[in-house]
Amino acid sequence: MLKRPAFFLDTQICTGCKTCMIACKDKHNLPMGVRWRRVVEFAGGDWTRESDGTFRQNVFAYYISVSCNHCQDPICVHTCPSKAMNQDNHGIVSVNSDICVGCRYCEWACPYSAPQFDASLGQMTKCDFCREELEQGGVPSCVAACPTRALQFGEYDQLAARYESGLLMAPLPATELTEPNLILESHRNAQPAQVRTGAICNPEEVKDA
Amino acid sequence: MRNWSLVCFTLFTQSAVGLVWVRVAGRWFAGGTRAEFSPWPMVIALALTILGLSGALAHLAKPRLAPYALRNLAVSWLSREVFLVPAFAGAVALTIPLSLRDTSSALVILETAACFLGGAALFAMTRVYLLETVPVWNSPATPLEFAGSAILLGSAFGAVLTSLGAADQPDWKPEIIAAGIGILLGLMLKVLAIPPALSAEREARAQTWYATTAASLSAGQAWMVRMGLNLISLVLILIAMGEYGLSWLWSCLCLICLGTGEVMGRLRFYKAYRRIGL
Repeated sequence: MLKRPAFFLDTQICTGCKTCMIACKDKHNLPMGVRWRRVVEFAGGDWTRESDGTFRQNVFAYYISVSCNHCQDPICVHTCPSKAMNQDNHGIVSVNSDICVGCRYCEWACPYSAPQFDASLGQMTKCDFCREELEQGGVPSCVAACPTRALQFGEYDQLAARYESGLLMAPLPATELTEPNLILESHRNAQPAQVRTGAICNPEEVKDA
Repeated sequence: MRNWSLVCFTLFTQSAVGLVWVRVAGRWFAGGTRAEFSPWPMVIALALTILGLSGALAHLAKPRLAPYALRNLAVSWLSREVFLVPAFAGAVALTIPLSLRDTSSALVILETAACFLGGAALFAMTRVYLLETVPVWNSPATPLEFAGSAILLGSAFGAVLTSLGAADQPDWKPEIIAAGIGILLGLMLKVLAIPPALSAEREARAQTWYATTAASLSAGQAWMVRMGLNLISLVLILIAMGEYGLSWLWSCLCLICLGTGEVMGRLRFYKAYRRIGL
């Protein structure tokens, strides 16, 4: 079992196929509307007029696959009134279904929308890093399913040493809010965080899948 | 439904806290010249808090597990709120039999305790929404809004109760004057909340993980409608304070105007949270 498991996403080669999302839903038998992993399409750009009167486009698009990042400073754990949201020794954040009151305060607080409300159960649910798989030496289902190997996982320190994290890219929130265990390889067209040079173009897809 | 239950919880509880404050302020304003005070403001404050707590329970997916929400008092502001609101209700409930028995020193102590517990509950309620990850709420506008709502609605309820009981109590002026001052103070807090609220909404729109607001009214328009309703209510309470008769009617109209503006503002407050995608 890893000491501090983290996800790694190479946004240069992520094609936005959403196999990771489907694998997660399939493995955990998630109902419609509950998405422990989501693939966000961030796009923007326009035509610009050049000095010689010609027009050029600067259109861009890239994908970010996001689930719970099992943050070092998990705001969901701090805000949960019943301590149902808890973090184990490995840093994996999970929900104790016996005492979750279903207030959905964690859903408000998490900047990654990781805790997802399951109306049929009347409680919050979320990614647990496929803990059972990890304990048996396996890999999370989303990582196993990724056809381009854009999505990987491993020890945070090793991943951080290997890749220069480009976490400050739109549409992700500032890392200092929760210190996520997520390493990103920046896309060549990555836009600076908190600047509206683009927009999430598939809100219905990530909300209703 | 989810927003409505929270609108009910926050507005009813804030009204109850404000009503207790206005009641105690009215007593100070009267300068201890009157021996008896009606227990009705405390009865109504208790009823409002119970209604508010019912709204909070309706918000929970598993209300039967609600006692577990007290387990994280050390860290979670929501847990503290869950503790403080019933504590406030308990203090208010204890004042009611004492009001009937006219044991004034114990009553004053309990009313003061209820005032402080109400203030603490209001503070915890405000902190629940001051989340760094929700920029549209994480601004000075939230405490100003919540405190303003408590004082405005509490004063309006106080004015209605005082004017309804005016026939039995000829010396009712100090309480309705306290309510009028309360409404003016509440209005000032609401005006102070406008610039930070607009600024927070602008900042939230800059975040790429938020959708742009799809409300029917822009933030500026909504504030103008609310302030218009508040100004009408101020005129109504001034009429109620005068010797023009039908004070109860003017007070009730004032409460309706204020309540409409507050419900509108609170619904907009919750709708402002629009995270998408991630």
